[in-house]
Amino acid sequence: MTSVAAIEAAVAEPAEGQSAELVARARAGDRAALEALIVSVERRVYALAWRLVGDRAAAEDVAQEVFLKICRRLDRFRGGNFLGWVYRMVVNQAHDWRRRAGPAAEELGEVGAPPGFDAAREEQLRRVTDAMRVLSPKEREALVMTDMEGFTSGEAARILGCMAITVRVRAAQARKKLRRVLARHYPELREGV
Amino acid sequence: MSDDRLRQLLSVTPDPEEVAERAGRARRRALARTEERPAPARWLWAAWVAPALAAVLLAAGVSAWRRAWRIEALAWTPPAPPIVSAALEAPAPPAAKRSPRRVRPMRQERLEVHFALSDGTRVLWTFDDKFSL
Repeated sequence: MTSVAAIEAAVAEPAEGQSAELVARARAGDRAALEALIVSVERRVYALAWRLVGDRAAAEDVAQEVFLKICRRLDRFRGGNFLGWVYRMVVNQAHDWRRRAGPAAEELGEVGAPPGFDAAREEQLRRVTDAMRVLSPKEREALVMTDMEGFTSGEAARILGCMAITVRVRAAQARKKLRRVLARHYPELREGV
Repeated sequence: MSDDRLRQLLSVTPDPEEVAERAGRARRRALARTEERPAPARWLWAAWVAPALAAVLLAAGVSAWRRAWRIEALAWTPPAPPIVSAALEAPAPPAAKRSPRRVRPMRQERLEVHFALSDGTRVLWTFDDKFSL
């Protein structure tokens, strides 16, 4: 099984100072710096997009739009947490994708896994992805930010643009719904077990 | 206990190699899109053809408007000669038969106005008892 921590460990995230330097150089027109800046966040962006939309191809489209926005709107970045700024764009872009796709987005099945995939992991991924369709977009965002991306409710609230208590409530509701759905496959998730 | 198990289930993501491949592809596509430049033909259209077309349409509109609102010029007429003299005449009505019972006021039947213009023309206006010319 591949965990988030494993992916994050594999991604060399630039330190705050390094990120700021890349931003400054990219703003000055340094194309290589802009590319390096995007490379430093691209896997996290894709992973977050996949968790929010639940579809590999759609997540790629969302990530592409986010990278394009980074290129075009870097002048608007006012400093501070670059990754937080990027994550806000991912959340908004995923929201736009859901709105454009409409109810059909909920019916989309995952496109086939690439050759050489781990069957057990793919099965678990499919079950989790299917189960997450019962969540509302807001519940899904709260759950992804807190339980999957590892943000505190305060940090997640800043990214999602709501109050920390709201994030906690939505995440709790999402957990409850997921536990009920996933308990069919994983009996240990039943309350009291 | 069940919370930990749930987190463990949720932490599963696609294969890291697949994530890297798809993320890299998205980055390359996005960067390629930033290098896109508008085609010269589109630039020319925007810079010259559209304003020229707008100017032609504007000229046609102005021409049509002016044609619709044009006022035909009046033919020139010389000024009338001034009036030299004017006289008012009120011919006396014929004598009416007096009624012993009732005295009727005298009724003016006609009123005449004589004009003499500077070029010798004489004009006569006659008004009847209803004062119509």
